Amino acid sequence: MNPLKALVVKEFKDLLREPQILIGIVLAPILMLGLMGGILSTTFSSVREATAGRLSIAVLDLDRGVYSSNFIDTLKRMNVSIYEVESKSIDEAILEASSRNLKLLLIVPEGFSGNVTLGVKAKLQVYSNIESFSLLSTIPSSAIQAYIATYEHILAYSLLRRVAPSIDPSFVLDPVSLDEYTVIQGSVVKAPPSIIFQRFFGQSLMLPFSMFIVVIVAMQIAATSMAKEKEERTLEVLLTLPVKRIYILMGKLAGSILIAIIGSISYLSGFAFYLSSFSAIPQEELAGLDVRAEYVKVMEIPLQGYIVIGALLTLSLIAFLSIAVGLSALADDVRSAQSLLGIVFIPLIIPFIFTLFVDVNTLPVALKILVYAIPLSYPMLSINSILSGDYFTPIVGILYLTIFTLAVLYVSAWFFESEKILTAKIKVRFMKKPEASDMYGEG
Amino acid sequence: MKAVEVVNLVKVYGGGIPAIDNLTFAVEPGEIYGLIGPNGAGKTTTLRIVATLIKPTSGSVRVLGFDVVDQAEYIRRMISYLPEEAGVYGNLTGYEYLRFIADIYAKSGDESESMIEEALEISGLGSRIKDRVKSYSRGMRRRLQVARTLMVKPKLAILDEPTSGLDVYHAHYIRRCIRRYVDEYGLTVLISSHNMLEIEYLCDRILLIHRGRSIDDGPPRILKEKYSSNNMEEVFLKAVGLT
Repeated sequence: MNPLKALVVKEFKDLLREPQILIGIVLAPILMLGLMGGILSTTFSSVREATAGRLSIAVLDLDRGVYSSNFIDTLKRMNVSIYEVESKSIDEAILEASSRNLKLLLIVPEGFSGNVTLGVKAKLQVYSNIESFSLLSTIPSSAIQAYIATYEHILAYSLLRRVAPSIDPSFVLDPVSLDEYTVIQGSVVKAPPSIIFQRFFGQSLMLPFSMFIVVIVAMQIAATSMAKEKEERTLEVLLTLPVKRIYILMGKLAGSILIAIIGSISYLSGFAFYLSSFSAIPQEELAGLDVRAEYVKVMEIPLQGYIVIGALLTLSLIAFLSIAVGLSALADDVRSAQSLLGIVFIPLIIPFIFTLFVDVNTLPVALKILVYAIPLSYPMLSINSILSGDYFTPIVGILYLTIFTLAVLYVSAWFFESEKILTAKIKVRFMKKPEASDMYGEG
Repeated sequence: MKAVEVVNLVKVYGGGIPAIDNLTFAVEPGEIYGLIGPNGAGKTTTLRIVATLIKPTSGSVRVLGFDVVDQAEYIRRMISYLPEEAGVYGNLTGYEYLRFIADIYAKSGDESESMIEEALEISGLGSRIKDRVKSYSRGMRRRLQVARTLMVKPKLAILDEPTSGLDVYHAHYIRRCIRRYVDEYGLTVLISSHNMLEIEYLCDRILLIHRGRSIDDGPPRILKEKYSSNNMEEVFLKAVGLT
């Protein structure tokens, strides 16, 4: 068998069977996100059932005037089930509503009709009886608010008609309407930027975002795999086998990437299920997020764009994994390796945060240089450039990343050839001096 | 050509006291050569240098004519190294571990299969070979490691305390295996051990090391006569002037 293949198979099996990796990276994401999705889905379904049914309320009409009966009749016409309480005081009415298992008590205070007639703001009171603090308990209150708002609109309409018959009431009630447009690199799209961003995030950023997760996960796996060789004393035999040292490094990279891909599939499937659980949300709540086909075209990344981004991400992955393997080879055990890895996460996260939340071009010069100096900035920076048809940044990125990755691989390979890989024993422990045995070999 | 030729070898770790101080010895092809000495004498360091794991600070080490610094890759094709505390990947089964090593050394699938068959016999693990290594006892792991080292029939086997952690029965069996491989396949063996009985039983010649320096060398029988001793323990103590 090809020695490299033998190394990759060994890495893959050994890592996949590691409980920490199997549970933490492969199983947990799909189970956790799946569970969260399931809970959300169940909640939203019950919300939908609750809102779909007929709203039943108790009403105490203390006014008994023209407008109060008009209001109650309107509610009835809107298919609200009304139970008129017999009690005369609010306290008794609350008890009566509760005994009939009605969650809402609507009070029409005395003077309601008088106020409306005199042109003074009229008041209504609603008492919600909740048994627990849950999403479900807020639904009846939200529902009655909507009914009251509708009645308010109807009332305003008829009052306006009476006061000023020559004016269109719908104009007075909503005199200004807003059409929002966003201009993206010269193309005009009829939608506010927030919706465009959501679309952009959902579609174009999912790719680098998922790759970002693959990189982080793969780095942890690679570091664990390398540190385990030292901790469990398998490295000495490995290094005397008749294989090129660079193959050992490559075997680790390939094994870690394979596991990271499985982990990411698990994560993304869990995430997709989690997102799909939102489809159980009543559709009218999602209406604001609906983006029509016309926006989508503008935000699309062309095929060559995906190829360029893919190349950038692959290069970054190799570079960062090599660093992870190299760094963890310095450590004496898995724990120290993972602590050392924290250092590498910083340059990974900085560009990700900046490119996600701010326009890099608006940053102060020092920060801008920092972002451009970090190799993993380029996949993120390139997405924006590619969308505007600018391939200069991505091409520079590919060149820079290629040089960086080759340099990292060269240093890692040199390190693997040297005896340092065996003798370096950094222990990351707080406030502990290295012991003599940590510094030197034995015997 | 010598199997191993060590000339004026010095190894200093991190600028401290030399772990090996001007060591010179040679191992003939087909012999079993033993390094004996107390803890910290430099036995493991010497074996690690011969196994191309670490580099000499000065002096030269040649294995089967190749230099350990410049021609390490050639040497690795001909040696098989058993470290004193060699670990095995706990998540692999014994069989998978042997398969991994065999696939790296063997040139064909058939050769790989025959290596594994031999290893199964040496290890004596029986049906347990299909279990994950993490479920093995220390002795079982050691037997797997010895089997792994011998099955590839290296020109030079470097064995650091091969029977450590083994009970009397298994230690005896492993020694017989080592002897048989040398006789049948003409292996050269460089071995280190604390067990003087093992050294006497196995070694054609031995080197006494103390504080990184060579004290004396020769066949055990000759050394015993030279120091008028009944066993190798006495030989060592007399040679370093402790009695």
